[in-house]
Amino acid sequence: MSNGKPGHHGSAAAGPERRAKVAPLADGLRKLADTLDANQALYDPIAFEREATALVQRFREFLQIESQFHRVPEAKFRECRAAWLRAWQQHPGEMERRCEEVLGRLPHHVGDESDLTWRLHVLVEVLDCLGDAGKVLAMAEPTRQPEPPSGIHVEDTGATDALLLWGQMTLEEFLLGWGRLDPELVKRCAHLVGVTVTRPTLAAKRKLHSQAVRMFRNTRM
Amino acid sequence: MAAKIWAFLNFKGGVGKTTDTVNIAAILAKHPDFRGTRVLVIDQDPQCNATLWFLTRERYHIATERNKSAYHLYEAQMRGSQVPIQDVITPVFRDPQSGGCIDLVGASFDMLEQEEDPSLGGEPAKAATVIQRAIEPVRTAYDYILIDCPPGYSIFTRNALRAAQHVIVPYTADYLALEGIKWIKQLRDRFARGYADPNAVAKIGGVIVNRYRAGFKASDAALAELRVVLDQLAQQSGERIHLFRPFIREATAVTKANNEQQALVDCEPTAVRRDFIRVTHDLVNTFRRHV
Repeated sequence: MSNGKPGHHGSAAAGPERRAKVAPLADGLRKLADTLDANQALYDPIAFEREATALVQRFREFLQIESQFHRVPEAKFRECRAAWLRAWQQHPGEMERRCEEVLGRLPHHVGDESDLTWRLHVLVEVLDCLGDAGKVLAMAEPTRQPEPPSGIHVEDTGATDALLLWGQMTLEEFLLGWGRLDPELVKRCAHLVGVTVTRPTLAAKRKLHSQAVRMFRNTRM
Repeated sequence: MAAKIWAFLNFKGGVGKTTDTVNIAAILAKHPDFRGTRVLVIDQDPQCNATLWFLTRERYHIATERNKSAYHLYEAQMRGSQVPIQDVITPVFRDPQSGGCIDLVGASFDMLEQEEDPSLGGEPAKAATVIQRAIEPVRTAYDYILIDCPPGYSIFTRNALRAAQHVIVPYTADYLALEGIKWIKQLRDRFARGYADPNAVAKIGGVIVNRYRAGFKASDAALAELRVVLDQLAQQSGERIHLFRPFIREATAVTKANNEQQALVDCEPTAVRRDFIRVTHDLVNTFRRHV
């Protein structure tokens, strides 16, 4: 188990170790399900019942191993798993963001594993990192994201407005007003147009002005 | 319920119109998150890229020989008659268990000739409603109808604008693609002025950012410009133009899938495949309440 700090993996081997242990069981389950499907199609009730019982039994073993592996009671693990998959289906973007917050980065897909299997591996890593099924359940709680104000895509209106204003000035006008500019605003503007202003050199000022002119010209309707 | 109809349009070429149409259609029909979704793709680009992507060259020739393309819808209009859309549909994918499917009304290189006669030999207003009239009888048979438009303002684009509810604008972070968005807005508004019904022409629904390079300063600067333009457009029209999330990253997996004529959802999981799935979620959720 980990110390539970965000971005800290308790055991980096948890994912691969689980994959190695669970993959053969999952394969067995899949084969049984296929047989079941085939027998159902043939309307063979006796074979169907036999295979169905075997499938249920194997699935119980599968869940037991999963829950033991994470030292979580089976019922809690099942609840956790269901909530987790539901949350991923409804809000995949939000779940990715939350998992990235906990794990630092999301685990890679392995081979041709499906999205479902990958999501379960992410659950394992998160469970391992947080060490508590309750916290994982809370993580899968749906929360409505606050809607951004209608029609507003500009993230920093102050900096954008300043850039659009500077873009209408000549270089001389811009340089003349430089002394009165708020350094914090200059920094935000520079960040917005991808200019690095470490020191207020003439080259940096010219670059910022040329980017402001470009922004004004490109956004003119 | 009647299908939601989206036209993928940008006047700039190479911004990902076909890539977005094909991949979003495939995700809707095949990904478990959208199980059972029925999709009709209409290729309106005479370059036939979406058609070739779905059918490959051999099946494209067979479909053309059997008169299964949008060309025949337009050709019938020129003769003063109408062909049922079912006659030109090619099934691409079927999931018998879930009911999900992709059907295609392909394009044909012959459409290049039709492009030269914007009125299709008759009334220009009627020529712009060929697709709209054709899909009306099958609107309830699909959940989504996706129209891949050519990079220009031809009779095929005007048909897409009349048939669709929303225009989805694929965009790459550069100045020319931004100009493309401004042109769409201007031409869309000019086209809509000819109709009394405000819903006669598709509204601009939102922008999908393709080939995004995180941390690349020029991309971020271009996106800052895109945001300014979207806000200005929203102010002008009073309607919100959505910026779909996440931005779809630049990735070789997309080119690889394109070269193999596969949709990303059929390929091994990658980050860009996940981007597409999430963007599809955003699209579906954004227009969920729109009838």
